[in-house]
Amino acid sequence: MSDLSFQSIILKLVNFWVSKGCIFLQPYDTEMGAGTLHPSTALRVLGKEPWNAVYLQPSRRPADGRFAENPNRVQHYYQLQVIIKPSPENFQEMYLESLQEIGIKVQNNDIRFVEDDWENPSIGASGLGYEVWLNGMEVTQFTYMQQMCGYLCRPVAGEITYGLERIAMHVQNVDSIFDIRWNDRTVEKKAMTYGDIFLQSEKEGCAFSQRYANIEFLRSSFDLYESECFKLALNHLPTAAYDLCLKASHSFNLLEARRSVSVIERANYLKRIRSMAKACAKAYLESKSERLEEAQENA
Amino acid sequence: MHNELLLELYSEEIPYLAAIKAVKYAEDFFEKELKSANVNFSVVEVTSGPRRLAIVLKDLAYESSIKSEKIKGPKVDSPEIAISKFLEKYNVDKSSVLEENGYLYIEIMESLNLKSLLIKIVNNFIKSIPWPKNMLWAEHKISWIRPLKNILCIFQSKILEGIEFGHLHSNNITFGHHVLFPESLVINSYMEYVQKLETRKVMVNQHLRKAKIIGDAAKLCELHSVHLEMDENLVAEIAALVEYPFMMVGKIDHFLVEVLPRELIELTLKKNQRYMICEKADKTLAPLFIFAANINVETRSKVVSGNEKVVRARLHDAMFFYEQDRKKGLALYVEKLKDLNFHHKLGNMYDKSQRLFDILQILNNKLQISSDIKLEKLASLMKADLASVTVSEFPELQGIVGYYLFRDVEKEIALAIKEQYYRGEVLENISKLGYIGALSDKFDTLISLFLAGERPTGSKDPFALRRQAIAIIKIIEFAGFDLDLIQVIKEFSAKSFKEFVSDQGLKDVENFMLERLKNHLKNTYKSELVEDLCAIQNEFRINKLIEDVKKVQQFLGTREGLSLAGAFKRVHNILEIEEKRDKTGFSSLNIVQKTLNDDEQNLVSEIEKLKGVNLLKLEAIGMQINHYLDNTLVNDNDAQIRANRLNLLAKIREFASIYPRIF
Repeated sequence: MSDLSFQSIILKLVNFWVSKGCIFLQPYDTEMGAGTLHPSTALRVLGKEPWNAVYLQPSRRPADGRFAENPNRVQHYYQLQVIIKPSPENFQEMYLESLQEIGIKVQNNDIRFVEDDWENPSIGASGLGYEVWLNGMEVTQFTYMQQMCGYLCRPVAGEITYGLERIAMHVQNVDSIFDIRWNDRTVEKKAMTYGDIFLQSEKEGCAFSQRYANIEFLRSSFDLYESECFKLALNHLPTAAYDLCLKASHSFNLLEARRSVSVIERANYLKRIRSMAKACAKAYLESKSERLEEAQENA
Repeated sequence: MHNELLLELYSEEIPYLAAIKAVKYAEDFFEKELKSANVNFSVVEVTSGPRRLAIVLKDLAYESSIKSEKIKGPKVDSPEIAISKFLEKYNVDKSSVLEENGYLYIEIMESLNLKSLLIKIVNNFIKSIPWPKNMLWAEHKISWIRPLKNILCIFQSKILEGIEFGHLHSNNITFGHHVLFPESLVINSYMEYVQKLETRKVMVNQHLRKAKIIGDAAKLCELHSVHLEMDENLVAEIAALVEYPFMMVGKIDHFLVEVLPRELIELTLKKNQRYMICEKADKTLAPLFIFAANINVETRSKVVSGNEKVVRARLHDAMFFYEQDRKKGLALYVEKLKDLNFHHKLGNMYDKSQRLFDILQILNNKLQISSDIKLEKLASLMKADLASVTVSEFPELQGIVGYYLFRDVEKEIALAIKEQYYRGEVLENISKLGYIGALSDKFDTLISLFLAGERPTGSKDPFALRRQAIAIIKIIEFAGFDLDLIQVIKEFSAKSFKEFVSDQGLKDVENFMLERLKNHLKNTYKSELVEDLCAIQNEFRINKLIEDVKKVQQFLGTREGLSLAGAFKRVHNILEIEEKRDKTGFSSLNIVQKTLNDDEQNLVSEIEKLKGVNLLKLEAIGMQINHYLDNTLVNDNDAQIRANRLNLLAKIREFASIYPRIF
């Protein structure tokens, strides 16, 4: 059993995918709910151009925060995202190999690919694939992307999203996210834990998103981002427009965390974000002189 | 040489329900194709596993090996060019042409090739599997349920060349257990396929996997002195998730089992994790779960501890929420119902609770089950758990959480809170208060949504209104309540929906309920009876109606019943003939009283007496009518008498038309 620190896990996985031909990109600098929303996935899976990338992405899910009282749930965590287009023939095997790199041996653990059809209606994305279970716990999302931003993906990209904290908790045998060792201890110093680094910001982040975030501000921000996004897309600036789509999406996530969105409003907001994403994708494809088939809108 | 065909489609993990459907499809497909091609077989067997779908066909042989077909061509006297085109198409010359009835025919003899037929069938099969969802992957043009990796197809121990699907061609290799024996191996027969894969940790047959799961799970339970809960669907699902099931036991912290509602633990373990649960001798939940691992490792390995960790994490999570709710208590959530929407025209769940009290009182006035105080309490608390954190995390547990939060305060009310979701499906032991609680919720949902303008369409019923109506009917039937639905609907609407009530709205609800009732009855009783008896009702007492339908159906099967039906039929027939002949209709209005004889007077007055009376009382009239017809010449020589008699028959016909479909 390996005793890898969180940062070592990240380094090893990144190196593994780099050795498989992925470029090592950096996290995107706008708040987002998942690694899939990084333009390196959201925009790059569109069109014919091959694309192989690995990157870390901090993911913010304001509604998931539990003020650090729950050992398994935080509103800010890290995903390791791998995107390979077209999807490789032995994608599952590559993933299993990557687990070996961090000491998770397939002969000693029950690793299963369990059916999971993944959907992110806010950016018109859907894929078919699996949750990967490691001894009963879901640690990774494994998806063949079928559509993105309302367009069909041709060719299909394979996406792997590692839930790093969960994997680290398995590897290090700890029961709480906050006990994860972030670095290796030395003779002189103890290792820093996840809690040492993030406990304060987690608690304050929860307070902000669930109690203090200004609802009026968020609502008008959403509207402003939205109109700017469409304007930029119309002016053939899709990558800049997409930034604003992300900002609008995050504003919505905060509104949800503040419980200020009713069921009908929620559907409406998601629709608006989807339209923004579609407009960005359309302009993006035009910029690459590519045409793609639109996906059917589900009723 | 064994005429055996083996086909294996090897892919990434196939979703469980899709696999079940594919197995059924494959069985039907191959049986049908072989039969229609007149090919005999001894076995069509389909096996499925998480990564493979395999079909074996054994002892294939043609019924006869020569087939001839006659193809019709142009007329004998057609222009030369038409004839030569026809001959060209089938590559024959004039000498092979036959003549029959002025047309040219060609006879084609085919010495049949079993191989080429099988190639055609298999290729069609692969293309035609109706997966619920198809996906693309990489740059391939083919779509499948999950990425398809290999096609094994052997016939008579050799590769059946010619099987093609996109970039894949048939070969004779397969793969062992995905992580333990991933290397390819060559296969020459089905027996080899099963045995070699078995040693490489793949049990190809899903039935054997299921049996192993059940057998090994039972053994583990015995070891721990607990009793396995058998859930067929769960076992089938588990069998679809592993190539080779190794059953293991995990432990659950005792106090979690003691404190958390059993339903919550079951939901987490069975639905989320696909674990099996066990009971102790006293039928309470054992602090154990049984799970299937896809590999065989020693129990001290991380496999068991990992699974236990997941359970612990999930249940601790649940505990976190449940404790919050227990501290608050159910009553404190009543106010919070104001934050939960029901429908934009009908307000929130708190408003619904108010209406629930109204309908509970209305039902109770008729059924005398409980007291106003209790009903008020029930109404206010019934929906309260919807505002609890546990239910917002586990929406499937609505009603159940309410029960647990209140059972130490007042058990009777707590039980009714749980029982409100009873849908009349299975004859469970429901309390009387529970029955009317269940009815009240469904009545409110149904009537309020209808009055607010919601209507289910043929394909969309987002509020599940049909289900609510059917449940109301079943509950009333099982509980044996004597309720007039029309009364209830009217009273409730008047009391609680003053702004919304419209005659049309009420009519719509009544008709909707009536349709559901008719459908329900038609499951057991004859359709014509149901339609006619429902049509003459002016009240809507379900149990009485069911009794009536039952009795009538019975009666119509008796000698008297048949005689009655027969009598009406004779009347119909006679009138049909005579009306056609006279080119006019006969009617009771044209009866001339004084021309009637004594028997006829009697018949008329009897019919008058029986109008509006229950069909069951019509025994005697049947005999009377038959007797009259047996002893009377309707077509009397005297035109007036004849007309009068026919008008009398018309009166009988009008009488019978109260039940237009039965008679």
